[in-house]
Amino acid sequence: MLTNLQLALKSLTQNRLQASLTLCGMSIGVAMVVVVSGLGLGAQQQIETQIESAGPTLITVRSGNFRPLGIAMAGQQDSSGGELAEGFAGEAGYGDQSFEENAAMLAARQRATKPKVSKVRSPAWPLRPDEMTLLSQNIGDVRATAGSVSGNITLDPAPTNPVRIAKVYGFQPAWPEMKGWQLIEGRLLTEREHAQAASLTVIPVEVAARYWPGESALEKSFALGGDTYEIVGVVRTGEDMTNSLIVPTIFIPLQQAQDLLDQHTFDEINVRSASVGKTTEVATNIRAALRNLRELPDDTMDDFRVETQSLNAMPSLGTDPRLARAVHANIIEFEQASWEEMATSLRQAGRTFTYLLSSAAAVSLLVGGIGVMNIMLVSVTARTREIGLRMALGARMKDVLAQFMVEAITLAALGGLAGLVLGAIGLYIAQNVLHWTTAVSPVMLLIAIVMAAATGVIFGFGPARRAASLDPVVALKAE
Amino acid sequence: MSKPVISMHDVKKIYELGDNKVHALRGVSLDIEPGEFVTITGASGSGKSTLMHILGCLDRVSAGTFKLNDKDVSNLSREELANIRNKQIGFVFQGFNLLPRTTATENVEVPLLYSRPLIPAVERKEKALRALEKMGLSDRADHHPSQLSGGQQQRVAIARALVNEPSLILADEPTGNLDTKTGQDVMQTLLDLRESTGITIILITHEPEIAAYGSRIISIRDGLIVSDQANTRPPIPTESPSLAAVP
Repeated sequence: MLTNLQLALKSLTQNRLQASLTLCGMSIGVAMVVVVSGLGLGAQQQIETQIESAGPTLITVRSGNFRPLGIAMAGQQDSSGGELAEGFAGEAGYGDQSFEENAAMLAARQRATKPKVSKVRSPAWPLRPDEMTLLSQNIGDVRATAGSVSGNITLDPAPTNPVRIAKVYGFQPAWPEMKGWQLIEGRLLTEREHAQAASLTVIPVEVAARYWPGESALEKSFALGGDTYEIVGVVRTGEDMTNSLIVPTIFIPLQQAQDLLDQHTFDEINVRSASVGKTTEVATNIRAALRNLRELPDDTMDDFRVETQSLNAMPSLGTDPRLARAVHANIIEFEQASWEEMATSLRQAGRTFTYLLSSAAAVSLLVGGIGVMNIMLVSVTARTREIGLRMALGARMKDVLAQFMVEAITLAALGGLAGLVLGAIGLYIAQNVLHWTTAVSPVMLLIAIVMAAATGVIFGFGPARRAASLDPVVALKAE
Repeated sequence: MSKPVISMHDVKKIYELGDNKVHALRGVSLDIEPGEFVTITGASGSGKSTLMHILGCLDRVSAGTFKLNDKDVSNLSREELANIRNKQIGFVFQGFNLLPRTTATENVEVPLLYSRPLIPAVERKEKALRALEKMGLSDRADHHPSQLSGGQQQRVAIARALVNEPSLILADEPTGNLDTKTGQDVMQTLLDLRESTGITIILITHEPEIAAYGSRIISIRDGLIVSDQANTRPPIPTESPSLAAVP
């Protein structure tokens, strides 16, 4: 085997020009595969990122009874419906005969004839730590969870305190990302500081401006609960902070807040679903799991609320919150569905793009393979006499076959390696000079190498077998 | 009396070219004893090349029996024939047939590459160097064929033929590509080789002067042996008279 490899390398160096041209062909083929798959994957990832960043993946869980304005969560309509849906369903009862053929009416009527969910558990249970554990560990496709708790607290009598009462707001590490906080000054708390319940605080920019106008709020502090909370960061929360002008809001690690407020439950839990397409499913699962955990009877309404981001988005675009909820309650999974459809079609487009480019790359690899076959055929023809000689000296068919196969595979493998290098350079240029998004998948690299080797085997076999089946007498006579 | 190296009985070889049948050998019977130096002569088309191919186990007989070292090789497979060529026959060709851009040592090693069981690389190299030494080419071991004279190239080829210690050397017009003087040198090398090792040599040529080196001269015409006689007076190599005669 080693001898065969040496022989192959030797004969390739002896046909240097032909070999290097074929090598070029092979390496361009492989490089094409590498570059194209890299670009394709990059494009797909970019699409994914864009979908993720634009699409709603945030689910908010709050405690409480929200009967009056209908149920906001998509997927809750079946059991309770919104006020509009209920009203409509009531009318459907009269129009029995005239609307019988209408499928939509039929569905509405079926919904209406379900047992009414009318009972309310009061007071609503708060969100407990075991429910937090359930959300973060037992629901599939959940990427992150973060809970919060808040309440007013009287500060310690210290000269450094600008006010006497503050609203402490305990949060968990993933919270700022989920809420879209912008860091204005300083830093956020590290996971470690959260875990250690460090006496550090982050404040809204409005509070900083109100109490330390014209100077940095960093390194100032609040004294409460016998501790001094140093301000390490100033953030813009994007929420209405008007109330903070009278009672300043300060953000501190969750555990600290829970201890200070002596409240070991959550006011709100935010859940980030793994992808846009999963948001509805995750929300539905959360609701079912919470109902189950809280042992709510079928005729009792949820004493909590699961909201998706799209609901929050509508009021922020100027829609009246009550109208937004009504719309959400009645146009089933409207926003979510359109998002998921868009995501699906975008992904499909990305995949089609990748397949298209990849098939072009495969064609160039095929051309490379034909190059290998060509040089091998030329080689067999040009070296017929050598083959005859080797046979006369005792080479068996399989020896000759092996010699030429090894030669073809060596050629293809060298071409493949050169192609990988070339492809890497190509991707580097695409990434750093052209600023295209690229992604390298080890699987694609493996496929490129395997394809190169397979090319050697497939296109080398014909010529090699031709060489091996030569008649030694005829081969020896060849010029 | 030892067993003959070659034992042929009524060997026929027929080539079919389309509808035509070419009778290259029409019934050749031949015994060659160990240590003989047989020269086979004949005009082109006489069947001597065909005979050589059969003797060299490169081709198979159409009819008759052919025993090599008492083993019937008439009906062996390609693979078995390849092994026999490798172990028992050393070929010397008219055109030397050395691999270009390959050193003399590596050229001599080629038959050893195909020997089974496998011979380790170190041992291959040792054997090749020993064979080259026998041919007086130790100082040319790392030269490529293009750096060697015709005579040296043919001596490398003879070393290659010897390297696997065959019982028979088959030389096909070994002096055909050489000038007279070098041809005589090569013939002398073969004579010396037979003298020192007692190896059997079969040489095919169309030149009567070369045929005269043999201890037995066989003539072929139209696929049949027309004469087969012992040669008791091998020529003493001299300066070529033809060269001296050139003004």
